[in-house]
Amino acid sequence: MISTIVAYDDNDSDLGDYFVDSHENITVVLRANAQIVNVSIRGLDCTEVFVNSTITPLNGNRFIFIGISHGNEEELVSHEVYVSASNLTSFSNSLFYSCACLTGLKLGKNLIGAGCLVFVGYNDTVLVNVDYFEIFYNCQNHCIKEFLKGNETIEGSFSKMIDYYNEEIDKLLPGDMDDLLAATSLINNRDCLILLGDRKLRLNDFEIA
Amino acid sequence: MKIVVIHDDISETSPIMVMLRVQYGDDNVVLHTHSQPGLEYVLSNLGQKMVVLLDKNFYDGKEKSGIKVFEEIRAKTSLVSVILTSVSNISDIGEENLKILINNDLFAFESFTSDYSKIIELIDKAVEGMDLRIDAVLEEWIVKQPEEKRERQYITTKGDKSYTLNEILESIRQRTEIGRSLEQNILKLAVDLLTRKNMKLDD
Repeated sequence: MISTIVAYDDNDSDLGDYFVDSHENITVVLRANAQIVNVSIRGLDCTEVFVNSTITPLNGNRFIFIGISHGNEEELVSHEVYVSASNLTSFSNSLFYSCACLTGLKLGKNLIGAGCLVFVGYNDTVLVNVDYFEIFYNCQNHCIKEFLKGNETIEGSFSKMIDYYNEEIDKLLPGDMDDLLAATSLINNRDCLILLGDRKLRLNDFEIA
Repeated sequence: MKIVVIHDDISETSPIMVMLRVQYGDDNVVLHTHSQPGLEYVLSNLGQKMVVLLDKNFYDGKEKSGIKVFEEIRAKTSLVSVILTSVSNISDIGEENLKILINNDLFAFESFTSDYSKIIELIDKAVEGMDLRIDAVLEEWIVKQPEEKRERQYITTKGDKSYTLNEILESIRQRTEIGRSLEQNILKLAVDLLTRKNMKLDD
């Protein structure tokens, strides 16, 4: 069995729809693997107390956590902060995958310092062009989707995500100015991606007997 | 591209106007001999790429000075190139005014004499510079978009901020965060393409 937890802020006024679609985009892959047992946490339940109580029954075993919401240097945020310095240790033994702004700057390092195995996130502002949601969440989810297929290390999956960003950027280039500006935002996001921790981990390293 | 001349000592028949019209076309060269209407013209045409040839003094100081006009243009946009001219020397400009000019990106200062060649040369250089400015290209594109499109969300960040095209336009003009970020990302895209395409050719 492999445990995954996906927190997504469907309640956000600006990006709620984006987060919902992004969540669905990942859960298609989760559902395809019979070994995976997933718990999804919706926006109003994205609180520190609820997140911690979802992790506790895993009894310290390895798990994969995916945060689809806003964030900042030190926190993941929905209507309130749900990952911060005060619950870092809950994520020891996890693969932590964040799509939020800036979390690579401090939160990622703090998580690794607290025993998190590997962190994937962004160390600067993540941009999303409103008319291009699907392209943006496909890029942002590519690494974790590749990893969940089980054939790649996290490093290999991360590398495939960079390649995927490049392919999507190239596809936009023959387009109009809106397409070009979307491509520049993808470049922005690609260039602030960060991978911390054990790069050689594979999906089967998260199997629980 | 518009060349806007705001100068009390130039008339429609002055040689410099004739030379500019020959080079840039009749419709693209505008003359204002009073400072306030000249300033108003610039501020009401911000979506248009402009080089402004601006006199320092108007009617012996009876009208708004060129430096004040420059300051008021800069309060609204950094996307207009301004060339300041004066019959007096640059050493006659006080320290505070010099700081205003230098710190707000005056394109050039030139003495106003009967030899217009230096001024024409500076205008040509400013026009060339405007054509290559990413911020000016972005501004020109945004201004051409329908108002309905300019008022709706265009880019959001996962740090919980969102921007319409109008807000991005304002940011480009004021040189604040999102506008600067867009310019940088366009440059990154250009560098990235050159680098990656080169790598593919070298493979």
